[in-house]
Amino acid sequence: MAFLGSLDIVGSALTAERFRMNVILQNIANEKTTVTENGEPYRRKQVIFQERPLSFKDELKKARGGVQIAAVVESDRDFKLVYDPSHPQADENGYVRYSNVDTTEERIDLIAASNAYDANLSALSVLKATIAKTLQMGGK
Amino acid sequence: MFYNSNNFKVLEAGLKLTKLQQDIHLQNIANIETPGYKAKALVFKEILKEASNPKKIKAIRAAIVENENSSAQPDGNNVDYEVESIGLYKTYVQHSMLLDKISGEFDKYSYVLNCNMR
Repeated sequence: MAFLGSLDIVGSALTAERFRMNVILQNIANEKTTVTENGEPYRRKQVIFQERPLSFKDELKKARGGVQIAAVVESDRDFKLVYDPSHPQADENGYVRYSNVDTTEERIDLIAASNAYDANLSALSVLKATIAKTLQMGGK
Repeated sequence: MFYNSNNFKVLEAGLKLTKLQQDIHLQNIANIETPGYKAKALVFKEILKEASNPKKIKAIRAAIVENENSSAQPDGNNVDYEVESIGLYKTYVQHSMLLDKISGEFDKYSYVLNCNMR
């Protein structure tokens, strides 16, 4: 599997970045969510990446490596308080607790994830060319 | 007998190293957003010493070092995408070159084997 194992490295990164983009989009989509299953407003979710170690010693036997998602953690930042007494979720003082998502931050994260995804895509094209070449080994 | 020749051994060792180098670049690019990840690099010094005597090439013991020095991003990651990307392309060119050499070896043998036929 060493030959095609490199694809797993790129693939894991594409999967991880795609997942991260989904989480970011989830955050943006829930920016105005005031109630979730546990009764409090939506909490911003963050993806934590972790290296999946590449065993170099017997690299040619079992190529692993890449990146994996260690955890998805919820931010414990304070919720946004907005004064809106007519809102059904308003407390006795007239304040509504909105999610702790900052859309500007999320958009920047989205750009970063998208760029990292593209970086891996262009690495994939080099890898594909290498594999195609290897399959022609010994030919003319 | 042909296939045991040193040329093939050297070329094979070269291919393996190129592959390893490529995987390292891919690993670095895959972890471009991983907090605390340090860019890895292959150290060729000791490997070249071995390669100068092809008969000694039996196993590839690659020295992988982590780059601790270069300026890191705030999260401790120090992968430089441009360096990795160029390095990756370099491995592709190197790989192609080695494959061409292997084809060339086979061509030589097929030429020798066919010389009585034509």
